[in-house]
Amino acid sequence: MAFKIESGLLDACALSILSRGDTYGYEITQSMKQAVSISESTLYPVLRRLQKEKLCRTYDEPYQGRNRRYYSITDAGRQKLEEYQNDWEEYRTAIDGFLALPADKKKGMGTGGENDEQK
Amino acid sequence: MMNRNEFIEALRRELRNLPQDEIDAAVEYYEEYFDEAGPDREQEVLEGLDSPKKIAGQIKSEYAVRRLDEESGSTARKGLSAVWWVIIGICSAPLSIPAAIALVALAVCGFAVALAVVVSVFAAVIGVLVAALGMLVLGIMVIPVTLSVAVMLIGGGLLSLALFAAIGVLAVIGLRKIVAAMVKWLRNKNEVYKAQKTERRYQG
Repeated sequence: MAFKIESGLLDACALSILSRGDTYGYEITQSMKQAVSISESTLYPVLRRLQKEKLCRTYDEPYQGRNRRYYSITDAGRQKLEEYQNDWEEYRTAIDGFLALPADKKKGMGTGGENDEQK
Repeated sequence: MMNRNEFIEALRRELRNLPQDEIDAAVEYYEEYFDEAGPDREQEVLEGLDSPKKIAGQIKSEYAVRRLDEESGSTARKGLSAVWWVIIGICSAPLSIPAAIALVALAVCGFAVALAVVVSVFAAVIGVLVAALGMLVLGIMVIPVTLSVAVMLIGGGLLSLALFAAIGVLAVIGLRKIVAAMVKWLRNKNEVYKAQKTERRYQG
């Protein structure tokens, strides 16, 4: 992958994961790792920042005799996520103007939705 | 290759300059992370993680950015209070300007008194010297006329000379002490100012 994912995008992705339900650090890292190449230590500062900005909060729940710290999105977090989603739409359209592959050169990843946007 | 405990210890060491709650939160997170992965995956996780130094660097820079944001928020508040100070200053001008004039006058008076004391001490010293020399010269001059008066005058002259030497030495020592104390005070003030400046820079 030639493109690096940086802090704004990481915040947005983490919020998006949290918007689907409360979860804990290890799981968030694993689900992000499946999609983009990040190291296992990328997420801690992101979660800490979201927490300090009150976009998410944490609570502890016992699990197999130890604590598991769950992260839960707040209302402010949902609002912020919506902002991110709008910004991303705008940004993607702008970059697509330069970089999008013509429809006939797309190799096996064309789903209906994306092809519609090309027209 | 380090193990889990060594990793946590190294991380704690790298973070030691942060506030305790930041260190605890980071250490707890990674402890939990290892627990979630389980003992079988410990080596795998350690390989997937960056070095403690790099992780600490990320945490510290995130903390620094956050502090900077908080700081700029608080300077905005400080700016507001500065405006209030100006308003208070203007409103209290009828009272504060005479008070300021009085304070300045008092300071000038104090300085003048100090100067006068120094000058008068030196005048006294010089006066004693002049008197001593006068008595000596007069005493030598009257030797042919009356020996007893001459002896008295020369004796008085020598006594005054001794007095001059004693007062002169004391005055010089005293002046030196005062100058040294002033230099020390100024240097101290400067030192304190510098320390405050570096502290502010560090916090910024």
